[in-house]
Amino acid sequence: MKKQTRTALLLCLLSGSLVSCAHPAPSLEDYVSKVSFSSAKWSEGIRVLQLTDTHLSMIADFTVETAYIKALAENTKADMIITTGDNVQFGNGKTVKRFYRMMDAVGLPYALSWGNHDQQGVYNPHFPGAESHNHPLSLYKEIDDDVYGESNYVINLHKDGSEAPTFQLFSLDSGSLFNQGFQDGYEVLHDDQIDWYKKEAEAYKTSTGYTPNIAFFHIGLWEMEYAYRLATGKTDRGAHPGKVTAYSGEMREKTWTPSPELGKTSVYVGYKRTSMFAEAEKHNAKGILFGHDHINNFAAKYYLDSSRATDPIALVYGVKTGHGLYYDEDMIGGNLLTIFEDGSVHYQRAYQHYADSYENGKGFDGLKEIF
Amino acid sequence: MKKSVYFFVLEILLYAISGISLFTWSEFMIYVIGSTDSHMLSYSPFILLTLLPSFLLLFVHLYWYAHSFFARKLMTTIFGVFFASYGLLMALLPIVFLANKTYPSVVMGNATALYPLDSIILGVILLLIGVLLLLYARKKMKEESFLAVEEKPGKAWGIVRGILTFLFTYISAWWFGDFIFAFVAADYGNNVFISLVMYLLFAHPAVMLLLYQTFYRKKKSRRFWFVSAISTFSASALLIASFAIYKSVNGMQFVTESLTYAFPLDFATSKNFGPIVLILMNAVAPIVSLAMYFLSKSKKEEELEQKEEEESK
Repeated sequence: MKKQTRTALLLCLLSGSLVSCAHPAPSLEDYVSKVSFSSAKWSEGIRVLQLTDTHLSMIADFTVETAYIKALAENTKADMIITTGDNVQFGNGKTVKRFYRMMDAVGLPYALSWGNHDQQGVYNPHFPGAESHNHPLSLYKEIDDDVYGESNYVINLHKDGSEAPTFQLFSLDSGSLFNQGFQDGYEVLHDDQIDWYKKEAEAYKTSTGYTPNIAFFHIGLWEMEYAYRLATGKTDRGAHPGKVTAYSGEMREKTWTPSPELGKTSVYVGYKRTSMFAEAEKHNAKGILFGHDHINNFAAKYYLDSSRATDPIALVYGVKTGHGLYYDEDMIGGNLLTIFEDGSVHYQRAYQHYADSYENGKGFDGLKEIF
Repeated sequence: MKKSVYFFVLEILLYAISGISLFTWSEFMIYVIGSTDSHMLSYSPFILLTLLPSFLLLFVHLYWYAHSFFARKLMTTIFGVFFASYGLLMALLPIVFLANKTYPSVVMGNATALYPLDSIILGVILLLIGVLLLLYARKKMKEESFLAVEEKPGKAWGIVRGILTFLFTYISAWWFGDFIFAFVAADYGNNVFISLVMYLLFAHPAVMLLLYQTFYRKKKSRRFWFVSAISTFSASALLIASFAIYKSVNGMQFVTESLTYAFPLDFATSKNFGPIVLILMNAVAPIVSLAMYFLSKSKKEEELEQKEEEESK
């Protein structure tokens, strides 16, 4: 074979192998889980139970925990469940599987997001996500992509018969720790995750605008502290941009100073401010839900952009679920979000205590309005 | 097989099991200390279970390396009483917790697959072992069959060596447990190279301890210490340098991305103790070898000393 022909053939083979080696980037559709509800259900409102920070470990009694979660789901008449991270901690593969079986036992579709402790067990860090494939009720999506983190996916809530979603629930992975030398800070949502959120929201934009949505993840945003300062008059702590139109709850976590730029806060925030809130405002987010801070249950309707003055975003702490790790007894349970077809959301806290039997709503303190 | 080989193999097995148990114990303690509910009492059988291999290792080591018959007999008696009491607690506590309904069943299967049944069974076995050790010490141990396996060190050096070896053994065992768990927790994604370096750093102190137990305990020549210093320094330097170079280029985020399981205390406190302790542990053998090289006598000095002794006789 002539030298030139051999070279050309070699180059062709090389480029062919490179193309086949590079895996195709996932499409936006790959990140989507779909849940469909009837028109009748939509008119009543879709009831989404937010659980957070269960911190189930190697010594958790899953019989007790399953009964507790089931009671909470029944008492709130939930249609589906989302979690805002720290589902497990210091366990092994068996702990993760038991956690999934607990969620399956409730009998409702559920969407998990990861916190800073979920990978803190003796298993491969991807195992909790990979295990979701064995659980049909799990809406979790494990995507092989370059976007930072793992639990980045969206749940589209549909009305029977419609192709376009009526509402979207965005899960994002707020990561765990961010190395800052000897002392670590908390991670933040990365720019590529926020870009992904924007693209997904863009993909479902209609003639009337962006599909209404809620974002849920583990570690709170700086804007939560700003809202708290504005609501409670603690403006001497530092910057307090934006406005609050309604609020409730309290922050019992000890204050700390994650950054001189933020100053003292009771929110265990990431190490820097991100553009997530600003983008959420632009993309018709109705709420942003967090976990992470077990003894904070503060919530505020807050806006930065004056165009959102009449429709501010609800920044809502999840009520810590159960007795895993640390808690205050009067602050355990979950949040109930009732999502309506017009995109409005009704927020309530659901305090549930442990009991020997949960018959007749025993242990349930009823639903408390957040706003 | 020679008795020494049996004890050697037994120590290695107990060391490995201690590593896994200590690692598990530390995770449990960190969780419990950070918890509102007090699990310390209700899971005390689990604490006893996870610390047991470490006590067994200690006993086996002290028994085998006793420098006199009296020391061995005393050790056996003390540990006989200790293990009998320990076993009794391990067996009784779960029974009490079952009776008062703290534990809902005899096989909860949470802390371990058979917990708390395994604690009851092992507790009974340990109680029997304790009693047998006491009987053995009182009736069967014969001074004439005692043979010390090594020279008795000087009092001061013996104490110092004992404390340092004790600390190094259990801290390195913890890291070895960390290394063993890497077989289930390893992430073979983006950080595979640095993760492998870290796993080797976890295991290296255990290797150094093995070499110490096998070769170093008996008095060695200066040349031996020199070779030991060079070889341990090379291994440690390679691993530490790989870690340092990677860190300077890519930072430490690989720890939170791929090694979340491996530094439980660091994660609980958000402070990076782990890598510092690891580097110090890996620096110990080269430093000790180098110190022993300078402290030990050269061949010429040894020959001169021997000659002087013969002349004085």
